Amino acid sequence: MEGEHRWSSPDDVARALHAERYVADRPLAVTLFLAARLGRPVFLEGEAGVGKTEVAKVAAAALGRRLIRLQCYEGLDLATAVYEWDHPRQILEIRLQEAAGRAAEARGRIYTEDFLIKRPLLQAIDPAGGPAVLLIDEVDRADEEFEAYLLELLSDFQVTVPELGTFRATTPPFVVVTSNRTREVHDALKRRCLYQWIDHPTAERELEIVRLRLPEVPERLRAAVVRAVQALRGMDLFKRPGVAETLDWAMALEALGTRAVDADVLDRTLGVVLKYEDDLRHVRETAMPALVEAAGAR
Amino acid sequence: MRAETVAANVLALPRLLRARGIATDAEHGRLLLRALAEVDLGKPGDVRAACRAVLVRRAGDLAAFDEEFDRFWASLRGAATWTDAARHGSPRRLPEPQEVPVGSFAGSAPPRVERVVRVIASAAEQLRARDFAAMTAEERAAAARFVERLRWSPGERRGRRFRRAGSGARIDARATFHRMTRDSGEPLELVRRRPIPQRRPLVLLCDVSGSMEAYTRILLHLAHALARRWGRVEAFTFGTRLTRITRHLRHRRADMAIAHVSHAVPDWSGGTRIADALAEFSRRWSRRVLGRGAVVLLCTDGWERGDPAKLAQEAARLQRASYRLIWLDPFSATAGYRPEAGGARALVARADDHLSVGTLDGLAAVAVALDRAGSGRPVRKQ
Repeated sequence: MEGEHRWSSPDDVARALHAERYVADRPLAVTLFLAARLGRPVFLEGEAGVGKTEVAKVAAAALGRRLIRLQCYEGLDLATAVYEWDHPRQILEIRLQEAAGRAAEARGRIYTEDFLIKRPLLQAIDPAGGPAVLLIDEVDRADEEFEAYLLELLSDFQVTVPELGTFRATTPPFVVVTSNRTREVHDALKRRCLYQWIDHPTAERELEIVRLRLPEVPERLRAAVVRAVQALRGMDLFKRPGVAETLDWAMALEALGTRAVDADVLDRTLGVVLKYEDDLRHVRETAMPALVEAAGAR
Repeated sequence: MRAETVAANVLALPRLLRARGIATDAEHGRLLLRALAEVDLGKPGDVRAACRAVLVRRAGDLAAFDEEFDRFWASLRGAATWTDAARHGSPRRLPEPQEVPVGSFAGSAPPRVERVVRVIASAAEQLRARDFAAMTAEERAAAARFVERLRWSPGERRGRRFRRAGSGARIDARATFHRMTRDSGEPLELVRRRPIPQRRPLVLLCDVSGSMEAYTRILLHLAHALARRWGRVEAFTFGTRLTRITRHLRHRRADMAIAHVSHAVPDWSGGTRIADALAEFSRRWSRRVLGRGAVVLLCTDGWERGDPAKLAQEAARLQRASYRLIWLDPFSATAGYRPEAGGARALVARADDHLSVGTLDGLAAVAVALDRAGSGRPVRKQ
């Protein structure tokens, strides 16, 4: 990995992300810039598929740091998130030492870093690994107990392993926390962070994203897909498609060798963007002409 | 705009936001100053983004923030300093909430002397089987106190987090190994663990339309009691639109909480469009509040003005998204009642339970049903 970068202004952030094929709007660039300068975590909220996780990935690449990702789920505990002792290997070590007649020494040898399994949070602050971007993904899936621990970690960036000592980050990691709002995350955690809501992109920005991500897809097709997705987002749907779906749709149409985006091809590929049966039925029954018109509009 | 003007006045912004209910503290003020030191104060867009990133913590506050920021910025343009402006014109206050009577219950006064309390409490026993619609104001007040005292528990579910337990069903491999390393590698003792039970979230959807008028207040007492006793409760009212009242129910005193609710809800005693309300709930809220095995209490009479087919579809969606959908119906205990209206038929087909809440006995039965419903796998009608 090449050397580490520092961002000098929000423009610099936007440029760096663009180079990594991510189109950030101005508020996001400002927030990321401030997070880097003030050493605060970023808390990203928004609907699924608007590119929250991607922010952390491109930030890591742009900063020249390693990316460490912690996917949250209910019941996530310290042994999976922070560290755990490799007990089977420790026992093996005890046996080996016993066989060599050094049983008394074994006790002291098994609680060393060799037998410590470092999980994402410890990896992120471990000085041995170098500066990191820490992505705590979908924190709303974790439970309150884990949130409380996270709070502690994010305030002093250190982890104490009782048998071994304290790990402290020499360069605090750049932390990105994402949430899909399947529940309200506690205020105390949000208070430590800079908050950024990510919305669905405007047509202009979305086209820019598709252009950047899928240069191989013809411009006419890209524009048609963006217009169709923008039209879908305006409809009364249970789940509005995200940018991820837009990209999938463009790729799907390209794979089918689509020349003209007509009712037939839209209908056949609608499952790429709409993932609920009710939504599919709603669009097929009532909104198909509008969708075709949107896609075909010049 | 001069950078000094911005810097000198920016701390007025948290104050403005506090007036709009967006809590900020001194720490936010310090962080805000640090953030502004990093951005170009000549660019309003960047200043706005920086202030927003520091001061806002939930999406629902974004619109209010933008409004206040506009006001703040405009006043910087016009006035010399914000403090002057603040001294002369007081910050805009929220419009006075409209006074809306809560059904016909508005006059239920708290008892004045202790003796009366006792009389009414014993009266509650006689009231148990009487329909709320047939009660006098005092009787309703007594009924409300009875509801507040009921023990509510929508049950617990098995959590994914474990604690050590001598008689737990599973072996805690990690702890067992840990003990082995301590005891020179011999498996002397198996450590066991069992899941920590988690409280089930409860979601209350309460119809406040005209036909429910006689029952609305008692149902709000039910909501308040649940919110106080159980904690993990999200409550909404609906008539012609959906209103989230969770925050308003937090007040410790029931009468105060209900007064807050009555200010907040714009559509008392109007018409109902149940399907629309459920559709809005599904789109805007279900993903946020129906996680982790939530039990849904739907309080309505099922008198749908719209298309019953749409109601059936929305009720089905609600049922799929919840652990258990319980329909609380004030009229189902009435003699000769049959769910024949289209809306009621749609709900009967989709609700896991259809319980009567027209009387105190009915409410007590709900408490029992909830307690049972909470644990174990949901039994669903197919």
